[in-house]
Amino acid sequence: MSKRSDDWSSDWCKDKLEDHEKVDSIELTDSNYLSVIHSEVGKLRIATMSLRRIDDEDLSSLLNDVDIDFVLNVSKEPYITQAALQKAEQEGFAIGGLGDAMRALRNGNMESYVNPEIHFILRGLRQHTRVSSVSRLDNRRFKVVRHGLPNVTILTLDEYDLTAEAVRNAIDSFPVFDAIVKSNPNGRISSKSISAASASGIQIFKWGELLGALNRDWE
Amino acid sequence: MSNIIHSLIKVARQLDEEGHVLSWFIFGSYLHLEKQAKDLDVLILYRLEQSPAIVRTSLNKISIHHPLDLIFMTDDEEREFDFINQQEAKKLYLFS
Repeated sequence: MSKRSDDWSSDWCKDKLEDHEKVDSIELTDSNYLSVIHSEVGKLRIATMSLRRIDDEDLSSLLNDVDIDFVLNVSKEPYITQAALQKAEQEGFAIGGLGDAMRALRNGNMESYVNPEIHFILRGLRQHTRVSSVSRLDNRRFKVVRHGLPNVTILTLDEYDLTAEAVRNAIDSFPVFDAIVKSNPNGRISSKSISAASASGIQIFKWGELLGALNRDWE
Repeated sequence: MSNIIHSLIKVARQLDEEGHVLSWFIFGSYLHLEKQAKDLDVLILYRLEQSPAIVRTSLNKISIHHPLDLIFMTDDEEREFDFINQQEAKKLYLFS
């Protein structure tokens, strides 16, 4: 296997995870691989990398058919394609950042771990009476198919305080969507962020507002 | 001072020298528990709409080697949220 530019990431992750309360021991088994002995569930395998965009081919080249429980990406908030998310689900591993890895270790469910924000959104949307199905288009966008109303695509942001720049950055970084949903129930939405979204023809909803809006036509 | 803060100060100084009007602050768990912190929270106040994209590009290399949580605000937004005061954010240059 050729040397990766992010082969330092396993050392970095080991340093961050070795003091975790559920980790009995942790060692580098290969470049970009860690083996963890969990105090309750035993051996876990973590692959590490640091990319700004993660596609299924990035996962294939990292994993090379090795069976792992979790892919830990150091860089914060990468763009994760739908194909990468599907590959992880089909092959039985999770993808996340350091905070996700720490939570997954605490729960002892690394391979089936779902970020709590994503879990909350998927469950809330799927339980909505107007919604017939929900699919993930990438790490932040969800396609919502509704009974008797047009499909909508929402992008969720978990910022505590939503700013104009967060809105503009989301519009620049993600393909088309109809509305931004502030998934963090705390914090505020700045008046400038509402203007920035409105200038691009995009609505901003808090979670409760979205649930109401799903009953209406957005045209 | 950690390497990440040192690298951040270097980028901030370079952008200052290039004439970008920015104010940099550090907040969150990194200030209290550096080893346990999952990421480094950085607040950047800006005046020109194009400035955040320039900052993001300048921080690309650093953000690959360390999780950075960047939040950009105009002065108006910072006042609206009272963010610096509520988060007890510290000026980045205090760490130099």
